Amino acid sequence: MKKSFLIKLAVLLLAMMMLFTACGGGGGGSTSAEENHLNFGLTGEPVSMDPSIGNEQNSWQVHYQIFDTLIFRANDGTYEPRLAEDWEVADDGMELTFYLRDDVTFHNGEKFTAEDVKYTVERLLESPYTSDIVIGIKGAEVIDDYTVKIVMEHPYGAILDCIAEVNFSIVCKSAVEADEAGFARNPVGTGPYKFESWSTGEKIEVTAFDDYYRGRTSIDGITFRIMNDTSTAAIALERGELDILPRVALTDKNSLTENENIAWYETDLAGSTFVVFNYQNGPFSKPEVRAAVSHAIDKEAVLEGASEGQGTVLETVLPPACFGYSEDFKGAEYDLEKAKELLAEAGYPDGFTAVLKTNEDPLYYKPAEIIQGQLSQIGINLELERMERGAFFTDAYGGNFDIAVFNTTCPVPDADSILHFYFHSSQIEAGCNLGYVDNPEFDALLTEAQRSTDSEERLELYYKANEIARDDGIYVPLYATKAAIAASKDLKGVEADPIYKCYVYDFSW
Amino acid sequence: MAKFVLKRVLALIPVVIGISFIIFAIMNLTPGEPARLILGPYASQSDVETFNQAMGIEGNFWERYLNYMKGVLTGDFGISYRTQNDVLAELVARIPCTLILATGAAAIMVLIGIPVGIISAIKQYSILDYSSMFMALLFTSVPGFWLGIMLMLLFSLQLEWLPATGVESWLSYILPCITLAAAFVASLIRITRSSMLEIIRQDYIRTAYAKGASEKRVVMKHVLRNAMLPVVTVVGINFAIMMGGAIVTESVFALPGVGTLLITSVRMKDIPVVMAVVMFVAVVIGIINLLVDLAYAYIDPRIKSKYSARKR
Repeated sequence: MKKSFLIKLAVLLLAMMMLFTACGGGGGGSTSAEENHLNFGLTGEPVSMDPSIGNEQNSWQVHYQIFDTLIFRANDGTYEPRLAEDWEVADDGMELTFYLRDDVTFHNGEKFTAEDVKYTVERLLESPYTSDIVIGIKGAEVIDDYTVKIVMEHPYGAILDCIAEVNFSIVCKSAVEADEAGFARNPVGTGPYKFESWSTGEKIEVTAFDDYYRGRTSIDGITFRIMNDTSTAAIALERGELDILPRVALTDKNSLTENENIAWYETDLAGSTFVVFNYQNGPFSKPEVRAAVSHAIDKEAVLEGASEGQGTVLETVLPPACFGYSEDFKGAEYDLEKAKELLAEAGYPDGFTAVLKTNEDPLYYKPAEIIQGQLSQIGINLELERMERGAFFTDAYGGNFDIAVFNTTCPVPDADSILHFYFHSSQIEAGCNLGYVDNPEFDALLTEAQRSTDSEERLELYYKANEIARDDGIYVPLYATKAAIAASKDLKGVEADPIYKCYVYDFSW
Repeated sequence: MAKFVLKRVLALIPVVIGISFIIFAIMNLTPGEPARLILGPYASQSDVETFNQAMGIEGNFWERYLNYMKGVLTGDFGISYRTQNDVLAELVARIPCTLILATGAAAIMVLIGIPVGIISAIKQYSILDYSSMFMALLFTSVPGFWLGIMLMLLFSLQLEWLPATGVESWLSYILPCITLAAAFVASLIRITRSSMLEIIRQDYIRTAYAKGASEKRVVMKHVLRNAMLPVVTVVGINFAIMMGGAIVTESVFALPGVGTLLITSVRMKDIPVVMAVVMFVAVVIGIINLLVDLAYAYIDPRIKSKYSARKR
């Protein structure tokens, strides 16, 4: 009797397998174009739909669709009106007046007014997540229903970039006040799409907002699918389970570009990878040693080894996509003889031994391994210490290292967001001045550039600051990788963006 | 019997408390600040302090642990550092997916593992035996992420039979279940085979054959039942591991399960979520072990009488 049961089971299994074969054919490859829907790949679960909390890429990808900012920054550095029709910056940079549109409604039907802007600014000022976009802002004043003034404590050169940043998305005051904790999972914005649902770990659904003030969007709905594994996401894209995958892994370039249904878009990432030193203690506290390191690193080779050559070698820590980048700036040239001389001058003719800390992320350890090899050529023997992520960041922010490779992206594409945050002495302990860099001349230039509102002048100041950084060996710039987006070939309007900004409103099938 | 079950359930409590303490200590005493990981590089020291204050990450370790456990006793598992959501809600939302995955994989494991193990034992040293042992070795050795991607490439991309990701239909669970089962099926085949072989050599089996019983009857009635105890144990242990440790499979197939929640939370040092997930897994393992013990009683009447004897 039992044997016949096993046979029955085998038959059942066989039948099931045949069933998959039969109904599987139609399941795959169905294009979303027919139903005018977009399957959008996220590389992890978003943190929050509240723009004052969600300060990472996966949250932003959804924020771009459901919220609007006052103004929009195009990649050529010009600004376009969004919720603000027009704006004025006072000559001394202490006040910014925004004239708002009067025809905008939130997804819940409420009218958008200056009160919402004021409320948004106040929430950002309080939030511990968003201090990088409220630099210098004191508060906001409502002039009338559709005029709002942002008042500054001190002028800030990149303030418009901050206001155009996605965390500066305007939220609906009444909706937040009704349920502040719930807002993170049930956001109300003015964007082209309204939030529908969030299945934890699986997907987020949004649908077109019919009363969008710039006209209804062309694609009716978006499903954001959460893919923790980049290879899986690439396969899902090839299969048509995804239509677009911003932040696609650069290692998938070859396999995806071979597929004729997929288009690959890339540009330089607004971010950089660089070497930081312990400026205060240990062997790297000597400027000659730091300079020696900057002459001993072959950046091309690091880029080739760490990022398969996909990227741009940098002369300063600023990537091309950042304001403040100068094409004609020259960093320290690769010269081993000079490096050895400098090292001898510093009192280390035979080199020395130090610890190079890095974490388990290939963005960090791959360049670190190559630098370890390159520096051994001038007698600097680095012991590579590969740490757990959290432990590494704690040591890095605590200045507890000799030399480290660091990696940053700048959502506000301005020199200030790298130079000031990572290297100004005011950021020692209080912020992310990792190596406790303290160079008064450099500080003065950064502060002047930060507070200036004249872009010509700012460019000049940053040029000078970069010269000091090069001569003092404050950092060794390495490279900026690429920011790539892969999408179905039929999807029109897709463009690569230095910080993966992705507005589905601009797309169509 | 009821008393036995109650005793075992009560015995779970100190185990869970012990585990909660160990995990809490590991997460809090190892280097790495949650605030730094969650707030991002631009956060100032005062932002970090604001965050720590809001999340209650300050003060004495023992005090924090006691406060946390007090919350747990009242059903309050805290809020996630990362998403500010209720931890229990996040965990509960993930359980169905993991449960389906583990059940499916366990079913595949049992349906393949036990029959193949039986055949290997009966036909010891035959081609069938060698080939099934070879397959078993192969599947244990293949890493889950590789097998998952290969299955996806073959069945999703090339043949277009099955979806690669998602949980929209039950079809989506087939590849993940196979991937997960592959790692565990080998141990089941081996344990079935070896415990069958052990029984086959017993005197009473020879007696059964001598009485003239058919091979089918001997194998099914005398050998299999007696060989079942270790097999049930392995099935139980494997199922428990699948409930808590399907991290790789869930990540590869983008399934919203407990495993992906755990790995994201560990990376971001989201301590309340890690605690809840680990305690959940501990409870699941405890319950499954209890079910295994109860299954023993069903399979082997001698054990049942032992359980009942404890009643007195």
